[in-house]
Amino acid sequence: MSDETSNTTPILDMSGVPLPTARTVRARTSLFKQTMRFLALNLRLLRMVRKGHASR
Amino acid sequence: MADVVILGAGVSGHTAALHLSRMLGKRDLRSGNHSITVVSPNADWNWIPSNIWVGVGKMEPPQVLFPLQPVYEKRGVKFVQARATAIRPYGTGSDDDRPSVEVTYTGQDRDGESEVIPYDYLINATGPKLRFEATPGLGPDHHSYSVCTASHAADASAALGRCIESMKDGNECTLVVGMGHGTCTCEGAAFEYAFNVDHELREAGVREQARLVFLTNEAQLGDFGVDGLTFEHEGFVTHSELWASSLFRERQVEAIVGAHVERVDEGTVHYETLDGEHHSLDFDFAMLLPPFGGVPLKAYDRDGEDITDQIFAPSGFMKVDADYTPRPYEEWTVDDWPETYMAPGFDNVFATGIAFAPPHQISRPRKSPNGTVIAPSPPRTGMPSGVMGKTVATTIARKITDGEDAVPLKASMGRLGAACIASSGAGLRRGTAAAMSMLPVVPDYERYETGRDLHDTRGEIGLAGHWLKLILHYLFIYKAKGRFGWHLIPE
Ligand SMILES: Cc1cc2nc3c(=O)[nH]c(=O)nc-3n(C[C@H](O)[C@H](O)[C@H](O)COP(=O)(O)OP(=O)(O)OC[C@H]3O[C@@H](n4cnc5c(N)ncnc54)[C@H](O)[C@@H]3O)c2cc1C
Repeated sequence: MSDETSNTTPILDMSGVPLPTARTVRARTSLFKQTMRFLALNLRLLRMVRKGHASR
Repeated sequence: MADVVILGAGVSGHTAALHLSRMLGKRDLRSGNHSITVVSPNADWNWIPSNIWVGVGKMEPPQVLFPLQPVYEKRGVKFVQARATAIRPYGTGSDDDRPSVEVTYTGQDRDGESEVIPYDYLINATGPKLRFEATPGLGPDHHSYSVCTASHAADASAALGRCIESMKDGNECTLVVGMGHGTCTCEGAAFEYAFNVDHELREAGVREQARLVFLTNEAQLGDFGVDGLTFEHEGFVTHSELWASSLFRERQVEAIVGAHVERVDEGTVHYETLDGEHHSLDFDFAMLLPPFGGVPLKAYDRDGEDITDQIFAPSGFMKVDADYTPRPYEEWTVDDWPETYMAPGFDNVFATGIAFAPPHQISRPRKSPNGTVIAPSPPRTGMPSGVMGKTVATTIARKITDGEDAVPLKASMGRLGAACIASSGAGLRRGTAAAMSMLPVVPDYERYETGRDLHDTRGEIGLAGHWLKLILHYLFIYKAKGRFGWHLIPE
């Protein structure tokens, strides 16, 4: 800790963080896979809405 | 006969107004049997989540705004384009001695005129005051941009465009996106804007010349003001920190975490980090969100004594049925969070959405060795804000139709879920989004080992999230316009 302004910018070191494989990146824009994910996402949201309402 | 006054026509207040008008019935409203009055300073409704797309030039402000008056007219709701300034919950101030609200007009050809509106039930859904003044030099009137309103976002888009043009001329630029104060909330919105900017830079073919830095008050990436999320992913239990960091690394977005912005000068942001060090970073473009406070409203008792401190927390948010006893992080529980949103001592006053005072943060609160608080405030996102609006509207409708003793409905953030879909680039084939869902918003370690339901707490990246975000844009605007079947669309 200091009152001085440090010259360094404390950029987070993310060099050890895993990167997606080319297959994972492709899957993110695959129309078939994403259509399935889209349905799954909608179902999940509807389930959450139902659970939230059930808490009343 | 009952008069309901709703302050604020945002996600929470507008949802409450629509549902209440449906529950009380158009005929009763038109015949004057009951009345609903919505007070809001802006003539337009704004779908705030899509301001992100306005901020990168993918949408124009008219695509995220529409006028409220015709919607209310059709439903028998009175719209007062005004700013509420004070409430008198004990009565007096109005001719009939009932509790009342003081408002100052901002439109309808009555700018500056004051009026006192009596109420039987009051919903305070005034959302946030954008406290740019908390950080010297912050905000669109000074040295950084914002995407909190459609017009702020349009200005940000124009500035981003200038930056991109400069890079096309061969210059290099530093773009800083993030939080403009150590106590900001809405990290998800800044995260989303950062990745939309990244996408724009790539589309413009200038990503190589750009240094994009995410400057956040979160102690770790992926905290999102909700203490992070634990996911089940590909057979592993993982954390949103890893998930978010991977996206930052993949897109080459640099990150500075645990930062409190102290001052913004022209082209330079000065900030302190959790280790107590002070730093500066030069920029060509900065979009930094402001911290939120409650909209300044005064409160008076029957004798005109100022009781603002009794009704509102020091942050300006309205106190409700939360447990405000100060406790250390380790002792926080879901039971601290409000359920009915009723103001203590008044069973006819409610505060919903961002306007209610939360009992404490959700993320672990942290201070730098200099005593600077660097801790995200709890987010109150669209889904819970809408559900709170509908819940309180139902409570009021029941009180009106079944009698004062009707049991209020509950919608605790310790039970409600939330979804945050951070689009990271538009395009029906090429867009993607980081879609997160959590249930509940406030972790419940008694019910779930990881604090949240692992079935519903997820994070995924892909085109599907982008499609959903786009559909939600059209769906929620359709719903907010009160079009056919609107009430079947969940909050
Ligand atoms: C850039 C951005 C992106 C976001 N993206 C998402 C997202 O993707 N998903 C999500 O779930 N949430 C998102 N949010 C959060 C979401 O916008 C809020 O949760 C939601 O708007 C809160 O609803 P509210 O009704 O409490 O407040 P608001 O929607 O802000 O409404 C407040 C209303 O009160 C009015 N008002 C202000 N002062 C007064 C006064 N004195 N008297 C009367 N009325 C007054 C305002 O004009 C407004 O009509 C985002 C927020 C931002 C800033």
